[in-house]
Amino acid sequence: MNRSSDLNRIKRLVKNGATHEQPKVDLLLGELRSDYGLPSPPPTTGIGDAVVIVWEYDICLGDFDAFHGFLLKTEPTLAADVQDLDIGASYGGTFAQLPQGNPHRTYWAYSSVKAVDKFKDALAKQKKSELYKNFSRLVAFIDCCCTLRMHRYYRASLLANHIATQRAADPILDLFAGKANKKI
Amino acid sequence: MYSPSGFYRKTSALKVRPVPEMGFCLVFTPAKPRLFTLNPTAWLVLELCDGRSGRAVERSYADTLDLERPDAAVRAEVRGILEDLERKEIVERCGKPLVQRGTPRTEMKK
Repeated sequence: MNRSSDLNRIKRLVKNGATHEQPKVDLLLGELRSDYGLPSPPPTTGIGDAVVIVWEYDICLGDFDAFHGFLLKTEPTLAADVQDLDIGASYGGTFAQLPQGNPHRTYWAYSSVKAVDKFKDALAKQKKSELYKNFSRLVAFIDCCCTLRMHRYYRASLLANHIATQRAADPILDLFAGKANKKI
Repeated sequence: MYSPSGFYRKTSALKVRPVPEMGFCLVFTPAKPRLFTLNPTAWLVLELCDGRSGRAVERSYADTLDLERPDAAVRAEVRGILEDLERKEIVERCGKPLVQRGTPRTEMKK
């Protein structure tokens, strides 16, 4: 690409900005220079959990601040509300993968496979609760049209002498089908 | 110190890697190995540093912002960023104007 079209491209970028941004040069920190993806932190749930479900998804760059602000404000309540259900489900936290930033993971832990369905039923019965609303808001941030991936982990020791049958999707998330990526 | 009549250009061996999809560009200064990110307006000023004067940079910058002529705010922005770029050894001043091949005629006239 020649210099003139390069310059035109930058000018378009400047003009397309919603608001005028002051010119800024930032030193890139050393630890962010590599494109090596750091492993996500392990779930913060206890060893008593039998099932860990991981939602892996991307958050749109423009939603970063809103999403992280939402988590800052809501995570403690969300975790406490899930715990209060007393059905063996717990919220294990949401983590961003650095240095890329947009990959995020949310961890859910359950004391048993049945607890997953119990959690789903409990949520379905409380559609006006704060927990349901916060859950919906969390899901709404997920740029799920192309990025949502689900991983289900069973505590290996509990699989002794059993053959586990995995569900294709997380039944909890089924509740919110069609609500993803729609801000509430 | 900024000089409207000084001529600005990128430092030699400077590496510029545009990341337009993320809305910034990365710049590496090999002489002092450091990596910087430039937002679109800073990136624009950097690209305008092709040997033209500080005043010409102000005019082209104002033109991009659809201003007829650089106002005080634009001049302050350009002065601030050129001083910063020079301090970080991303641009430097050269003794005489450089006219690069491919510079649009309209910009040269200004």
